[in-house]
Parts: sequence; C-alpha cells; structure tokens
Amino acid sequence: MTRSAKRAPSAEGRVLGDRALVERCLKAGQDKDQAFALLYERHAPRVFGFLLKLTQSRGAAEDALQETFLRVYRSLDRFDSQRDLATWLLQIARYVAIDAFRIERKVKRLEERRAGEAQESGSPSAAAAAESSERTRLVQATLGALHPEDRSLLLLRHYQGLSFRQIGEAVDCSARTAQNRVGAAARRFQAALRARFPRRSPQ
Amino acid sequence: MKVCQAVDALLSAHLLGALAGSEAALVEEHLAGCPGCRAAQSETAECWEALDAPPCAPPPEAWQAIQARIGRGGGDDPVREEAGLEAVIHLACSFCRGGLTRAETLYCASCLAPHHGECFAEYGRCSVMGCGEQRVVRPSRALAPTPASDSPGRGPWPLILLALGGLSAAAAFSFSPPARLGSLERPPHHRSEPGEPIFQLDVHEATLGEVVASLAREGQGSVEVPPQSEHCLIRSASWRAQSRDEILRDLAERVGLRFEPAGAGVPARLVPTPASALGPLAPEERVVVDRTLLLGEGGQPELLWEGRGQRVAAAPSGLGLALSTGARLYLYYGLRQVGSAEGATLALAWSEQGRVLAALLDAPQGPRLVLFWPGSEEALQREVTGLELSREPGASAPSLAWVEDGIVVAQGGDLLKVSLGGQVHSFGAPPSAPGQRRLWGLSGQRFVLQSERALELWDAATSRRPIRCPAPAGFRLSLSRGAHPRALVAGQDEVSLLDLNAPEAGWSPIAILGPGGSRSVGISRSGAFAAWIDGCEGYVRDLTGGRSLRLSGGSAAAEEGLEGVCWGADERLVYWSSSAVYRIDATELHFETGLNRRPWPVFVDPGRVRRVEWSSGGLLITTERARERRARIRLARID
Repeated sequence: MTRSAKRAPSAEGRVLGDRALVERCLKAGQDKDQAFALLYERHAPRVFGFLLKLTQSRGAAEDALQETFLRVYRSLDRFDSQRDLATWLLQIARYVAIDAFRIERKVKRLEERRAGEAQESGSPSAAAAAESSERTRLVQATLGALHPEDRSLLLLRHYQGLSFRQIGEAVDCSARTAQNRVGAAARRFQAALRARFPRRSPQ
Repeated sequence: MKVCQAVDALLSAHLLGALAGSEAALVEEHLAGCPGCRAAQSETAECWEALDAPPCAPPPEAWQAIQARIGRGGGDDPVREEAGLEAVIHLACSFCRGGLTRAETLYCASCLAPHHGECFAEYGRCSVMGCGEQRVVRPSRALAPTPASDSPGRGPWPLILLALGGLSAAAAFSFSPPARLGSLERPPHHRSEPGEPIFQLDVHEATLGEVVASLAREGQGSVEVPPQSEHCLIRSASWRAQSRDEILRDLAERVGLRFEPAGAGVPARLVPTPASALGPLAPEERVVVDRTLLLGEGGQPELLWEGRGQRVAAAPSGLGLALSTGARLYLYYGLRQVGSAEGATLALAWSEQGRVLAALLDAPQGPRLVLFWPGSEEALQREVTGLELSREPGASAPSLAWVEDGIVVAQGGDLLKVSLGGQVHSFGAPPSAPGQRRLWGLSGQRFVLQSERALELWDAATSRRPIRCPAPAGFRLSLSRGAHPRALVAGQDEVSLLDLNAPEAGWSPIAILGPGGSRSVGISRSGAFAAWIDGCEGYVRDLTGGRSLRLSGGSAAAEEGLEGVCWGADERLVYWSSSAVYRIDATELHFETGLNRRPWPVFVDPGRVRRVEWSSGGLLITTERARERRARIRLARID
C-alpha cells in the first residue's frame, strides 16, 4: 500500500462505477491502492452505520469494519461483477459481525464495552445517548436484545432498505425465505417491543 | 380483541413489507376499520423511526489501520506469520468454528479434533458428534519453516491439498511440513512401472468444465462437455489412473454422462445420458449443494450423501435405502452398502414391506428392470429378462409401482406388468392420459396411473378398461393404502377426497385453498387424516371427525411459513418449513379443542429444507445450501 492511497480520490475516481473500481483494484500497481481507497470511501459509511447498529458498540463496529474491508481486499478477485457491490459488502460485514458474536463470544465483552463507553462522557455514543429520547434508548435496547441473526435481518431491511432479493443474496437464501425470515424476526421484535412499550391504544 | 392482538403482533412485519400477500391484505383491512390498531401502528412506526440514523462516517484511524494491515501482506494471518510458510494449515475450533493459532490449539486425545482450550473446558469434552473424549493432547514439537518446494508446477497446489476437508486435524498433529502432505509424493528417483498409475487428480471443489479443462491441458486434444453439464459440481474426489481417458470415463460416470474417446477426426467428448437431466445445475460462481441426511429416532442426523444430481429412495418399512449418483445405483441395508448396479437410474420403487427394490436402469440397448433383495444373505439381485421397453426421445420419466405379485411399469407409451416369476403382461393400448405419468400401487392387484388431468384406476387382474376420474389441472396427489384406499388431491382452489372403492361418487371437497394453491398434500396411510399446505400455512384434518387444525411452525412469537407435509407409519405427520422439520403424532392432536402443544423442531438447518421422506431408519431429509465456490483442482503426473 503506497502513500498515494491516503490522498483524496481523484475526480476521475469519483465518477467510476463500483465495477470499474473493482476492476482497477484487481490490477497491480498504484491504481489498485487508489481504487481500493475510493471504494472504501464510498461504502465505508454505509457499512459502518450497519455495523454500529448491529454491534451496538462503536469499538466493536470499528473492529468489524476493519475486518470487513480486509476480507473484501483479499476476496475481490472472487467478486461476481453481476452482483451489487454494496450488498456483497453488507453480506461480508454481517458475517464478520455475527462471527464476532458467535465465534469469539464477545457478547459479554460487548456488554462491558457498551457500559464503559456509556460512562465515558466524551464518547460519541454517550453524547448520542444523552440526546436521544427514552424511546430511542428503549427501542435500541429492544433491538439489541434480539439474536444477532434477527437483528441483522431487520437492519438490512429497515436501515439499509434492501429488497428481499438482496437480503436473500446477503444471507444465502431465496427472496421468499428472506421475506419469511425478516417476517419472523419482525414478529419477535414486535413481541419484545410490546413487552417494553405496552400498547397505549385500547384493543 | 383477539383480532387486534393478532394484528398487533404483525405490525412490525407489516411495516417492513414482510407479510405474505394474504396476511398483508388482512392486516390492512383490519387497520382500515380499527382506530385502536391504527394508533398502535403509528406507535410502532415511531419506534422504527427511532432506529433511523444517517450513514455514519468511520473514524480516520479505521482506514489507517486497514492500510497498515494490507501493507503487511494482505491481512494478518497469525498462523502464516508463526509458521513462516507460504502454505499453511488453517485450523478451526471444532466447537466454536473460530480460527486457531497453533500455540493455543488443544487436540482431542481420541479424534484429534482441534479446540480452543477455553472451548474444550466450556463444553467439558470433545465437541465432535459421537466422540465425547474428555482428554486433550498438545503438540510437542515446534513447527519448523519448510524450504519452498522446487518441483515444477507445485506452486499453489500444496495450499489446495491442505484445504481438503478432514486433513487439517490429523495433519496438524503429525507435524509434517504442510508442503509435504498428501499421498502423491514419491522419491525423486522413482519411476512408474508398467501398470502403475501415472496420473493423479485431486479435486476439492470445481465444476466439471474446470476439471475437464485441466485434463485437456494435460492430454492430447480437447474434450467436449455438454453446456448444460459444465457447471455440475465435483467435490472431494480423487483419481489415480494410467491415462487421462480413464479418469474422464469415471468422471463422466459420476455426473451421469458417458465418455466417448476421440475417434477419427472427432474429439473426445462427454455425452448426456437420461440421468444427466437430474436436478438443476449450479450457475457459475454460486453453487447449490444438496445434503441428504437420515435423522434417526435419537435425533442425530447422519449424512448420507452430499452433492447434486442424486436420487434417493428409502423403503417405507424395512431397512433398505437406494442412492443413485446418476450412472450407478448403490443399495444399502441398515446403512451398510450391500450392492450396486451399473446404469443411470430411471425409476425406483420399494415393495410395500420394504424387502424388494425394483429399479429401472438405463442401458445402451434400452431400459432394464432389476430387482434387489438387500436383506437376503447374499443381497440377491435379479434382472428381469425378456422385457422390451421402448425409449422414446422426449418421453416422460418412467414410473414403477408394486402390486400384489409384481411390478407395473409405465415407460414411454408402454404400460406393463412384470410378475415376480418373470412373466410380462402388456395392458394393450398405451395409456390414454397424455403428459407426465406416475404410478401408485394399491392393495391387491389395483394401481393408479396419475396423469396431468386425471387419475386412472386399473386392475391388473382383469382386462377391464380403467375407471377415469378427471382431476384439476396441475393437482397434487396422495393415496392411502389398505382395504379402503382414498385419494387426496389439492388443485388450485380446493382440497378434495375420492373414495377409490367408489370412484363414481366423485370428489368431496374438504377445504378451500387461498390464492397460492397448495404445494404439498398428504393423506395418512390408514386414510384417517389428511394434511396440506395452503400458501405458507399448513393444516391437518381428522377425516372421521371432520375437524381441522392449523399446524404451527416456529416459536409462539414467530410463526414460520410451512413448505411441505408427509405421513409416516403409525399416523405420524411430518411437516417442514424452509429451515426446520417438525413431527407430531396425529392421534394425539386435540381436534375438538384445538389446544395443542407447539412441537419442537426435530431438525433445524441453516440452509433450505427441500424434501423430507419417511424411511424405516428415520427421516430422510434433503437440504440445500448455496454458497460461493472456489475451484480447487490438482492434477499431477507421477513419474
């Protein structure tokens, strides 16, 4: 990786599509690093936002973001150019985050981390928490209490606005199954939500 | 009130557009007339809005860290760094599937499965199914860096070999330098003797096209592959042979093709056989792998088969199991292979008691009928001679069914009965029903020929013309056995029942179906219970009491859409969603009150459950998983 990758992307790079960027990334030389930097710049905010919601910890999201883009860098030669790059990135990010939960059993560590971050007065999440309403906090807690698989499905649908076909691509199933899984996750979320927010209106 | 509760549970799914059409319409209809639920919907929508946030830029340090890790050579690989090798073994913990470094790895003292120390302690014993060893061992020698091999063409192959499943644990424990692993290595002075294999082909995972291309590069001239078979997946296969053609011949057989060597001016080629049409083939980089498992009563799934293009038939009683790879039929009895036969399998049928298997196998001179007795001491098999079956191009798939003293065969325009003594009786004029046909055996000499628009009831003991019962287009059929057989049919609009002893009475509707129609239908063996899938919901009906129940899938909070139903012996019902299989005993269902325990799934799979059948050993489950594919082929000349 050369220093040129740290420079602001060129105007030419800005108009390049994802596929062209991937093609450049696959070529050797300086172009490769610059193209990967552009690719990161274009997609990192979306992926980071997704990871932040999924892990509910800024530190863990940063770790996962690094791991995601490293895996992307190593696997670009296997990217199917017919696919949507953003969906592929979210697929990898989801695997990374769920691996973090499942494999390294970081859940407890994450809880500690979240608690620690909440106490750090200057941390962005603490500041955000202070500004957010009680509702936001509770809704996020409800989401955080779901199984990571469920959480990722709901985030892919609601936060990332993916179609069921794209979600199916990201989680390796058909669009119909993706719809069923999102539906099932939404029902679990709704049940958990009701436990925290009893319905105000009469039934 | 109850409707409001039910709708309330669906509000999030409705907001996400994840409800099926009929459910969404019901929710919308209810919301239009219920102010309370409309308010609840607004509250739910506000909760979802609370989750909204603009894309968040990661801190600059994140990119710097990624750059630093990329700069170190494509990412941190502690194993690679530790070993100082180009080729390394990637170990994964058998419990948590996480990566392992050599220093932290503990191995099961019995099966050598690698574990994290923490994981082994947490599980308390080896986590490999069926092992349970409580002791561990550690490597006692340090891994020394290995000089790079200078063999021509060896560059990437060690890595490929090392990726072969199952080698990792044993290889790691033997401390052999990874580049030396594999059975191919010969001393440099070794020369092949006449009769010894001179080619070695190892395929971890690759398409047929890729494997053939690698062989074509090695041999003389190209090899043609049918385009529809190019993406057929070859997995975990190995050949040692004296010639390229020898490998190609066996390779073709595995995927249901036939190898034709090069002739005068004609290149070598693989040509389709009837079995080549089995199952859809995988698209380019995304492969679908079928796994067929046997789930015993103890709930432990046993992998029987992995790969696509096979046919599996389990005897409904007895212990027989037939597995077809396309070019060869393998016969199992109690999970022990007792025989095999050459030829693509065109149709299979077990006798009612599960003692005899009838198989229609393809052969160059035409289809041949072979009978197997897998439970006999010598696993007898006998070919029925004198049976001349036509093979019409484009004809529908043949079908077999057992009757009291023989087998009925529907093949092309032929409809024949072959008695166990070998006599062949033709039913004269070809079946009147056009299109795809399927045979169902009933008790005695009766059988049913199913066509696209009708059922025909035949009696093999008489020469009477069949009784024809028209049925809805594209219907699904299930038949009960016994003295009072019934046919259960699901069309697009309704589920209906026909008494096969009194077919003139016609069909009796028992349920109206939703817009999606039914994908699956089943009647219990005694004919007392029926089950069907309506859209993504399943129902079971007591045909004697006339009451129905909805089948539940998933937890109470989240119902799963159901995909199929089937009945086993003793009125036991199995139904499945895309990810789970459930089993209930119909005689224990409370049809009158509807108060039933929600069953636990007996099997859960992260892929997609495609098919479930009963067999004597348990449930035969075929699942499907799609994933990215990486070609891994190694072709070497041994000399």
